[in-house]
Amino acid sequence: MATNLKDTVRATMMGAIPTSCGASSHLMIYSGSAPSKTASPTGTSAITAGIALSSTMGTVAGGVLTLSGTPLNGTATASITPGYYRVIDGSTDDGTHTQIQGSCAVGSGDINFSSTISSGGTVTISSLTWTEGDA
Amino acid sequence: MADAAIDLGSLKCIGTADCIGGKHPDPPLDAFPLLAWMVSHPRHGSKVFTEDGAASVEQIGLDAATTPSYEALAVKHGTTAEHVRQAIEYALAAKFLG
Repeated sequence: MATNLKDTVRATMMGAIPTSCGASSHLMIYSGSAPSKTASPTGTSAITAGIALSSTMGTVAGGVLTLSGTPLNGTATASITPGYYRVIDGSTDDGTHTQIQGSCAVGSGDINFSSTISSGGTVTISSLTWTEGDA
Repeated sequence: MADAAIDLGSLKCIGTADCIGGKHPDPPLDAFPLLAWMVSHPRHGSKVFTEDGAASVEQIGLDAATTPSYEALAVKHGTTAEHVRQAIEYALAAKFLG
């Protein structure tokens, strides 16, 4: 039998993520395969400084955390095929600030890109949600 | 899983994104996901390089003439044989080799 949680518990769990991210979190996008979430990032960063997220990076409803402020834009500093992303607290990605890590790809992945990333181009995160597993 | 443990399931993530405009090398990198390029890479300048930053396509292409082995080139440059393979294919597509 599946184990189910009360909705308010799920909301509390997901609500902990923006709190943990803090007021100056960033979304980073890298090429290649994701390393361990606690390791320094590998690959080439699409946007050196990352995309700054809202001071409260997301809002929670019904066990779903939705990224705030979308669409969010950044200017690409490299031409890469996106491979994985991280949401980090602050602006230093050395593996100790990873709050969320997931996959990116063209046509698939947790963040589904419509194309590869070109240096100087505008990278737009149109939408992004995380859903607690019991939803 | 232990008897008393519960599986709360995995966090599911769904997002969409795109990139409009910008520059890309010629030929483009769409078919070479293990290569990257930036206007001024700190190590490789404006050259196309392996996405792990290990070596430029030019370096690998030059070394391929004397070291005709993906694995050996990978060890030499500190990357993977697949990165080397894509670098050489890119060098051929760009007519740097061939």
